Amino acid sequence: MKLLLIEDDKFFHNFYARKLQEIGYTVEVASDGKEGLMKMRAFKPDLVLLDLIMPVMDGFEVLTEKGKDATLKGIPVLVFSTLGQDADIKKAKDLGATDYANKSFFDFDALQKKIASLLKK
Amino acid sequence: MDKSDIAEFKALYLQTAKEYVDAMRKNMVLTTDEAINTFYMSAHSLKSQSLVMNYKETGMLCGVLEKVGKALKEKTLSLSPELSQEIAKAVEKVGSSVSAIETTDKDIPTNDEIIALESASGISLSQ
Repeated sequence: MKLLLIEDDKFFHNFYARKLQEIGYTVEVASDGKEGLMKMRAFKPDLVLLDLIMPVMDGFEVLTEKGKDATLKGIPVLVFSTLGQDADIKKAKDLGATDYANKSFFDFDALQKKIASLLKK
Repeated sequence: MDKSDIAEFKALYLQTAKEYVDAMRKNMVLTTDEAINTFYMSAHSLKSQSLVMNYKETGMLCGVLEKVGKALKEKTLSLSPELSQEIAKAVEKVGSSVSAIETTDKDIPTNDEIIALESASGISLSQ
């Protein structure tokens, strides 16, 4: 299964890519929303993991642009939220995000289960 | 995160944390939109990775700095001399905390700086 991680932070790039590859996923990474959209079209992931706060193009803009593209509409998106971004989760879901995970209180088992559940749908 | 993860990712955390602290130091004059945005994004990123690594004191202080940065970016907050001073103190405390993590594996208390920053900005970490 192919995952696309759209995340500007180097630490999280390495962290999530390594942890997810260890459990058997093929992981592609993008450092901002613009690159993320390009890779979504080229890589055709089974699931996108999307940070909301990024330079160049943020997660909300990615969701908006993804929603306009018929070739990308069916790809589920798990957004990452952090402490104090509850209002942003609702906004992301209104723009088409399928689910969210809290980046601040890291529970890899819970994230794994969430990813598996989204990939089954 | 379990102990093996922390050991494995600590070096990466420290490398990126120092870059974010540097970026906050260089941009904390906060007189241009670009400086404010860089400061805000750096505080945001360092908050997230600190909390994941269980360096809660560092993460919480960065959380307040992030909220201050966001408010300055959205122009809902003005930069007073008092706020400017508290931002500078908070950034130095973040730097000290990262150094403490490097040598002792633990971050340092930041509650005083959080309270001072919340008072000077009118912004609460919990809001």
